[in-house]
Amino acid sequence: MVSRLFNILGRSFRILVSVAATIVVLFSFGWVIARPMIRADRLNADQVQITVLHWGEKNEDEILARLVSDFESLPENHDIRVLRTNLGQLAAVNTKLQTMFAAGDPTDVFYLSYEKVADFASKDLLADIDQLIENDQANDTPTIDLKDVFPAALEAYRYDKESGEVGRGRLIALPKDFTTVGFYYNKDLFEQAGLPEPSADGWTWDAFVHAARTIAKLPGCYGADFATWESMTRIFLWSHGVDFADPTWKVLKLDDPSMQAALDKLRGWFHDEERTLVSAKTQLETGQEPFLAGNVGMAGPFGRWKAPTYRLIENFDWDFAPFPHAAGHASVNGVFTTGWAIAEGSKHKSQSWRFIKYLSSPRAQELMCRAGLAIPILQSVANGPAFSDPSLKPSNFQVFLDAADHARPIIWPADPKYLHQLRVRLEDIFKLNKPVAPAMQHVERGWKDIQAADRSSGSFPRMPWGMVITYLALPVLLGIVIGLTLWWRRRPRGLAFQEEVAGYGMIGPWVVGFIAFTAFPIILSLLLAFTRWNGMTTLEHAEWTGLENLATLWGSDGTFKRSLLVTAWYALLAVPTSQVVALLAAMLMNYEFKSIGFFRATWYLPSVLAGVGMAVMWKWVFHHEHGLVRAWVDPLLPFGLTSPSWFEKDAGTWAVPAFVIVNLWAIGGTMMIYLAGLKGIPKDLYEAAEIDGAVGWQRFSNVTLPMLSPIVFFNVIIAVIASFQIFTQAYVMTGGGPGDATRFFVIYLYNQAFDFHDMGYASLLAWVLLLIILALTLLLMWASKKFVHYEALKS
Amino acid sequence: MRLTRSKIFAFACLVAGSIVMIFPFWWMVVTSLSTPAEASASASASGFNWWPSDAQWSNYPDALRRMGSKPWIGFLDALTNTVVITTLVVIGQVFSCSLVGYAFARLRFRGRGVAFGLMVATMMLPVQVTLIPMFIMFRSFGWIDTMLPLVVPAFFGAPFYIFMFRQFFSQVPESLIEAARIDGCSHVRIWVQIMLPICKPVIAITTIFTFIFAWNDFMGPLIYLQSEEQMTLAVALNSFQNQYGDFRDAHYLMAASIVTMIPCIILFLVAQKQFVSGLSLGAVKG
Amino acid sequence: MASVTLDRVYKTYSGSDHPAVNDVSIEIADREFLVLVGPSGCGKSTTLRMVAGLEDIDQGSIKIGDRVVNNVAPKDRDIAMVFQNYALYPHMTVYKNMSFGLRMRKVPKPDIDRRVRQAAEMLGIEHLLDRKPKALSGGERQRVAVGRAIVRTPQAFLFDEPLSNLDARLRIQTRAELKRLHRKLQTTTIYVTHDQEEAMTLGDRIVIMKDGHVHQCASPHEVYNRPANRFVAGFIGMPPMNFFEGQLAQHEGKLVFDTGHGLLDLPSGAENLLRDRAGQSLVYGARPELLSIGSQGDAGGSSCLTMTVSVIEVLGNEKDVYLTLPSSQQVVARIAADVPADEGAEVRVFIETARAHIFEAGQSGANLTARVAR
Repeated sequence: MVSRLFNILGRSFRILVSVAATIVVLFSFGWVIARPMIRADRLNADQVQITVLHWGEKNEDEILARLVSDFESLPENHDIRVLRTNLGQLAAVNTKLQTMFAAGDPTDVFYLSYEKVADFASKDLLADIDQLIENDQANDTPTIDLKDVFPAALEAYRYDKESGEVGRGRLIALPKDFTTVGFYYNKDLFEQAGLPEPSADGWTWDAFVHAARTIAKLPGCYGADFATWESMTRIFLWSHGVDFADPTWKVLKLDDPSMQAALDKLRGWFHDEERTLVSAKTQLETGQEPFLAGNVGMAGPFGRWKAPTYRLIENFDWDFAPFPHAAGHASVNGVFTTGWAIAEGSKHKSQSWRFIKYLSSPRAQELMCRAGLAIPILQSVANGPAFSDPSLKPSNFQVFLDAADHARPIIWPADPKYLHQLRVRLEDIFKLNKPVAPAMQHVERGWKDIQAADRSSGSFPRMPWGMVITYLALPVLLGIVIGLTLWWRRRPRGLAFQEEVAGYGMIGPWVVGFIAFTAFPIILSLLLAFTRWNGMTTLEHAEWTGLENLATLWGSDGTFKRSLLVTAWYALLAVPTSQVVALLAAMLMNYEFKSIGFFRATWYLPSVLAGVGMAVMWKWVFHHEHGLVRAWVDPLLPFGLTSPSWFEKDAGTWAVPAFVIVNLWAIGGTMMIYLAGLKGIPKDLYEAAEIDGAVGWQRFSNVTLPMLSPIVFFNVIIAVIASFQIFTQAYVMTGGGPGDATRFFVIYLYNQAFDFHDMGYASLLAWVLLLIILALTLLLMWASKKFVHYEALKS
Repeated sequence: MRLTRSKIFAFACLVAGSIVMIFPFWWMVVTSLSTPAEASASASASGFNWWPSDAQWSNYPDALRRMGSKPWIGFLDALTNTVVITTLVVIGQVFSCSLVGYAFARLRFRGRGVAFGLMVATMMLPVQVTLIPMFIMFRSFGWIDTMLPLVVPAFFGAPFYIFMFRQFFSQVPESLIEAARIDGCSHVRIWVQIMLPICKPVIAITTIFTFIFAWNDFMGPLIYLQSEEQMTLAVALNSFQNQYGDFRDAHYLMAASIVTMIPCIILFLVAQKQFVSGLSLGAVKG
Repeated sequence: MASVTLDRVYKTYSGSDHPAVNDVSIEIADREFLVLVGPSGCGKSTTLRMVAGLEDIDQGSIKIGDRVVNNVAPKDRDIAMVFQNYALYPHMTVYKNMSFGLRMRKVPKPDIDRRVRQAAEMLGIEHLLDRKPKALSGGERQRVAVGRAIVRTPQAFLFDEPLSNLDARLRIQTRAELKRLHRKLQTTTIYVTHDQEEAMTLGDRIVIMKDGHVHQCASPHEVYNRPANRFVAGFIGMPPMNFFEGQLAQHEGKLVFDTGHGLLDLPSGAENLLRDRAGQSLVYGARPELLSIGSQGDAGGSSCLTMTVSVIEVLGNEKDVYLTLPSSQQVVARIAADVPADEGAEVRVFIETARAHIFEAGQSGANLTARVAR
């Protein structure tokens, strides 16, 4: 009776699902097809649409939404419509820009992060703002008054083509706002610790660390939350009168002992002292706000962007202190800014320019100002009431402006590879507590290699595509002609021929697909492996570098070796554990309980859900402060042990195992395959074994395992291949870091292709992956002769 | 059924394992229904609830509304894109793989063995090798930022499913085909009117696994789709994570994640048998 | 070598409402070859598997020798089994297959080797010792399965339909060999089959089962000539016994059987036993070899019926003639091949009633003439 009821429920559920699915599918097709027509219609005949790409949290998002609607509402702008896209994070926008440039179809207007200035400007991708201003002046059109803009902010967007220097030359973007940095501090904690509040005129690092240590002694408190992004670290060095290199980046100073000492001092504050400094962040993480919890004395070096979030704090009083300076050195600061850039390839330059002008106008700047994210670019606005509203915290807002006087633009080399190297090694130092000197040496070596590679760039001949095609195509064509002739002459007669023609016709789709999506790409990929090409321009610009890429790979690419190690280590852990657990699970599932169907479903479900959603969830599970593991496992651990900080300071040992655990959670599919295999073992084999006297382990090793061996073999090969290709989880959860702790091979490949714009090198990496997988597969096949009993398969 | 010690132990393991499997997901659901304060607390040791005291079902529409830059449009765009792409991919795969699989199984033509072997070999190819050239190719067609690069290749067959169809069709009795030929069917008609109807189990399996793959595909849309209007749910969720990754927004993030996973769950509940049989077909013949 | 005793054994499978094995008691003497036979679902395999220990016993007891083995694990019962599908370990060579059980019991290697080779020689498979099962023919595999059992020198052999996967000729050949083997090894054997011919040729005694019950347990001769009931009578013997439903009647002062198509004399000695059953519905059974065919003109006796010839199957020396009664009931007669009979002809069929049987009505109606001396 009950089972009848379940049947009916099941049936009606299925019907419901089918109906719902059909509706959704029809609706979706309708939506997608009608979409271009509906949205295009919204533009009137005389209207132009400009696309705007940016990043930002909800505050920033809302500000921009308001600005856009304000812009569109102005009568003089009725011929422009703005289509805005917010990708959430800086890295995502930069990646998207790369691909858009490569496709030759960039957005009209976009956020330009200051570290990308040289990169994009050197490739002629940005419109010349100076020129646009000059055009306006020639036509008597109202335009931006550059003199009102904070010079420090403006300089960050000048680029000199000949020398490749940032800081002078033509203006290629306009700052949207900027900020200097300092430390937010918790007034209540300072009072509790009996410390005087830091003076708005400046204070020393000694005073800073003293305050941090004092507050750390308060129960349950931390001294300070110190963000060690490369730019913050750089200003830290500046405040000690040292730097990574000279301002033009021609002379490296990575071996400067006083520079290393400064870095080591900071490292020591993190790792050699308890609770003085909290976990160091190297990315713009939005998952953390220790300061908000109220048990952290200070937070920084942050700019004004934190103010809106902090204004929501209700449980304690806070304010803003200047960036400390080292005793005996002057106060310095850095300009953190994002700019608005217009794509040189934009088809709507004048409309985009009008939008930019609006954004830089006092009206828009005042609007932005009220939201309080940063300092407006116009000094008039900054000194006006919108910015200096005394009812808005922080009370010490003047500190920002004062710092602007001695703020320098933070300029990095054009090639993003440099910054990436530095970032990774700084993560090593601050997150993984590795010693400073070797890390800096590592950076130096890496930078020297990049320099050498850069110098040789441009000196390579263009890839002779014409010649290549001829050399390749001729033999292939010849082969095809010969093949076709032979085939025609030897063809069978009559019905067999008809069948043959039908056969070729029916496998046609696969053949075409194979040639277009497999054979051709593989050959092209192989050719690309010997070139240098940034992917943002057309193929003709690819340079033939011969075996140069190979030489780099073999000789000087430390990250490559590291990523191989990380991936191999992951495979070594993940494959055996997953197979053993899956097999054990399958054996459990083989019991004949009534409810076994339920268990099979619950164990199998996770593997069906793999994707971004799951990765997001696991990121939270492993979070070192708010994660599920921390909350549930820690209380159970004896002797006061705590679970590791998987992706933070313990990442060196525990990051890869974390991914192994994630992999274990999704073994449902493998388990089902083993279950099918177990069920395929004839029952009377087990009975014969029972009579023969083999039980327990003997039965398993003499009957079960040999009969399962073809399936084990199949699963192991699939698992090995899959583990070498791990990407989505790592990309979503860690991005490859910290340091290179989770820089799996395909992540590194992706970095090379889409972050460093080196398609040629990335192609070489892809081929290395292919060869590794091939080698492993052949190895496994050879080994299988020993342990796989194919007789187990029915003939 | 005797309750032996081993059976009790096995049952206990099953229960424990199920808890481990389901618990993170359960935690997600709870978080998705919590108020912001509860959400951030639920992640810490003290504040975990088995069910939120005040289930905020409104979190779901709130989260979906915030996806993308325009309220609701962002989510609807992503959803419809994903549905369309997945549907087209499934259709394309079923047709092309059954067609090619049938040809490999029952039609005799020279070079069949070589072609089949070649196809099997390509199953081991890591997708990354063809990634960049395919990108260049699609770029030259002008297909970037459309769904074409994701959909079109599905109509040219995928080795794994071709292999499955071929195995299945190999076991169809020759007499069935011979009878059809005597009745006057061309090979294509045989495929349409006889083969397709009887290979329903394999079609079901192909549909299901292709659906799961296409629905959750991340790397493809990440590379080929750019504008917000064209994004799929996977990419939109990743952006959403970047925007709303603060632990105080955990409830929105979890709600959005769960919504993207619902179709797969439903499919699983409805078609469990096919999932299981699909796996065994793939492995045991592999 | 040991006796095997089943005492009032019951077994019901969960989810089923009738027992698979219903109050079965059998005593198998030491060195005896006992065959369990019956239609599928009768419980013979289940009974065998309970002796092996592969199935639990709900009620009753099983003894091997003097030991009650109800709760003893299969490997400790000292029995060996030959499965229907042979159950050879596909990944092991014939040698390894045969030696597996001995290896599990930690028999010293030289002993293993000797015993395996001995068994192999006995079965004529020495040349196959290094091959894997996949490379063997069906008959060869079957021998390996037997060899695996022999090597163990158990107290009893259990055979579960071992010949059913062989083709007809091989089956007959192997049957003879099994018999020879039994004579040589003298081990108690329990053999399950659904083929009554196999049962008749192999068994010292046959146990005929249906629906979980034992219908008769006796020697082949006994079972053939004195079947306990209608089911046994119809099961044993090919072509099967002819049954005529009818009643006892008085005719010319003596008791006869009225089939509705004619009268038949009672089997010898039956008159006394059946006197008080006059008027009851009973069943008259006569094996095909008791029927003979005469032509229209032959002198009529009281034990003949008129039938129409429908199909004749020539077997060589004899032929089976299928006839139909006016009621469309089919009857088979086995006669010498040279006796004339034409398809479609109406003939008179004579029955040698002395050796016929009378059964109670019903599928398993008891044989009322069983005790008559024959």
